[in-house]
Amino acid sequence: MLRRARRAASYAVLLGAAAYFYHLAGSFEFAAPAGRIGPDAWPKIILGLLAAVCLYEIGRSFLGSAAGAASGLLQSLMARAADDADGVYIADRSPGLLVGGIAVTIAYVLLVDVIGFFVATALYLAAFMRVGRYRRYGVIAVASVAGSLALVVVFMRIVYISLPPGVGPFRALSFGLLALLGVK
Amino acid sequence: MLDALAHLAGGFADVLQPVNLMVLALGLVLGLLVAVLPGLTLVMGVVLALPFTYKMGLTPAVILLTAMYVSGTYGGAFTAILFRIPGEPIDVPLLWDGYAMARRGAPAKALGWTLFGAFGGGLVSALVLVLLSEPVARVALTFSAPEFLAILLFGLASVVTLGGGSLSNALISLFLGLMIATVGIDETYGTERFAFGIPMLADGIEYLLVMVGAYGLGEVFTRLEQGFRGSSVDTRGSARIRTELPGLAELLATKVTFLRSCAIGILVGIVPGAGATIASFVSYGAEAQYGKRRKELGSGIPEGILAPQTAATASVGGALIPLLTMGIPGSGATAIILAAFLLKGVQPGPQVFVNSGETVYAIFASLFVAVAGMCLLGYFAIKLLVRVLAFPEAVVSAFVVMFCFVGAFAARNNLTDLYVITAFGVLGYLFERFRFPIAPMVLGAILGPLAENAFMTTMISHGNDWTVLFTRPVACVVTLLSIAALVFPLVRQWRESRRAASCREGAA
Repeated sequence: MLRRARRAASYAVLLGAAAYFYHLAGSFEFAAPAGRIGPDAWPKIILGLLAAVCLYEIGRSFLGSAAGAASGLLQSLMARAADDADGVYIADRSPGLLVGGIAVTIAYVLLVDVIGFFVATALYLAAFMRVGRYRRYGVIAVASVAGSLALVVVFMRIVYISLPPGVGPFRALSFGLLALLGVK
Repeated sequence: MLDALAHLAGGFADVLQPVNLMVLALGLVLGLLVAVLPGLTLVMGVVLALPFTYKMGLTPAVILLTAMYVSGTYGGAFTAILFRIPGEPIDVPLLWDGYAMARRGAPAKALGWTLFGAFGGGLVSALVLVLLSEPVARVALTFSAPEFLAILLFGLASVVTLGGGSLSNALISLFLGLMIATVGIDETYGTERFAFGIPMLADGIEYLLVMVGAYGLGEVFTRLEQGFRGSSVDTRGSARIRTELPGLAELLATKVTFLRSCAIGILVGIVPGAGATIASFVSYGAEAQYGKRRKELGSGIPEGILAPQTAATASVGGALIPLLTMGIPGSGATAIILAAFLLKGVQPGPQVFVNSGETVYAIFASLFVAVAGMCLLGYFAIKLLVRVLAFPEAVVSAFVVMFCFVGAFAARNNLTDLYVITAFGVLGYLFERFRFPIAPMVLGAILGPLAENAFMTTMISHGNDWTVLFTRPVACVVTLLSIAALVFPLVRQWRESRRAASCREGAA
């Protein structure tokens, strides 16, 4: 029973979200001639269909068999192939690695505007490789610094994308580096 | 037809310009590398290349991405055959006969058959693309909103029914994608929807961010949790690798397989939502069902290599037909090519031959050159290509994330977009983790605005009468096809349940 409730929970959350957004769609402000559908029509249809699928899955969780759901063609083909492919195996999961990876990624997004693209990228590349259990520190150092430099050169000199320089001393560092690289 | 060939000649002249040729060669190399590396998928690779096209003209930009797309269907064959590592899901069927042939001591021959399949399938599909596109575009010019709505609904239905995951999860993924597309200011009334007063949301969510986040970051997070591969593949023996092309007698003996696989690849490519992976599997399945040597499949016979490889590469030309003639991308890779068009202010569709005919024929010509170039690279540079397997995945993945970030940032020079792609990266991971397919969400986000626009126009111009989808011949046929596409998995499941039940009864 607990397993069935757990399976139904995600669909129940989605159902709740669909109901909430349906309610929001009802409060859109617009001026349309009488009898003409408004900007709420399309989202309401989609949310109605989403709710219907969620209700079906919740019902199936408690009343039907969890196994034997209808699936897409590729799903059936891949299921038959799974035993034959090294690349599609289900490996052991390491949630710690995932949390570490997401954490350094979020840190990068938060910091890139403050410490500038070059420093943030070098730190991020090094941290991500380390989180990914790569242990050759010499390679990590060279790849992260040289990689950041290469990205700066490629994007600022060749593709002409203006990357964030950072603030305070990091800004000075970024502009110094750009001057060294010949980027104006 | 003569007109088309004359335009194609002009297209070749364009492609053979040094800049275009250089870009094409770069695209081929990148596509092959992306396909060889197990941590990178074809769609991810094309996504990562997009920011490099921002400052290019339309023609070289699309040539680069198309070259990556076509060579990406071929590169993974090397690692599947030689090391039993499919670089892409496309290459999984090559494990059955390709790897078996290599293990029997004929890896060069197995590589020769994939080369022939990619070359032949690519050329035939490029030819079909040239011959069919303009007539299809002319027909599409006669379509009104109900027909476009029906075609878009068919595309959305087929991505659900042909893709991975359970039907319910695929539908949920699709509806979420369609809802993402509704965020922001609506086109008809200018009403702000689901923005919660946040300016970033009021601008809408760019589908590129959804794609880069869900496909790029999401895939990296998934593989990170499973633990990256080190450089565990021993490629030291790659110096001895070579390719041996099949002889004329062998080719003639497999002509039926080749033609059938071309047809399957092109048709599957045309269907929105289906791509090279499905083409590859369906073609192998057809060989197992109808092939002359079907009983020997899996033991390392040429037909088992030729069928999936030919269909996979042939699907590229097929997938470009709905993109160029109706502006409907049928796969992740063609969605990115569509983005390249839109970034240059060109909307693919029935008018594209009128407004950007030269570019379109240059793209057609580039496909022929790309197929030939890809095979030359595959033949001569295979030893170098397989060496990239020695790159540690942690290093490659760190750079993949960076390319995702820079690509997302560069599209609008907006740092807040990095938050959006990180959020979609986590969502992409959760989708993978809980077996919700990503493709329907992405295609929903891409096709959502087009579908809503067609829906609103249809409803407003036909007095809210939805039966118009069944009263106009073309719209009716396509709508019925959409319904059939959604019913098909249910029928298949019902039949499988009945078969299983009768087996159980028989055993009892």
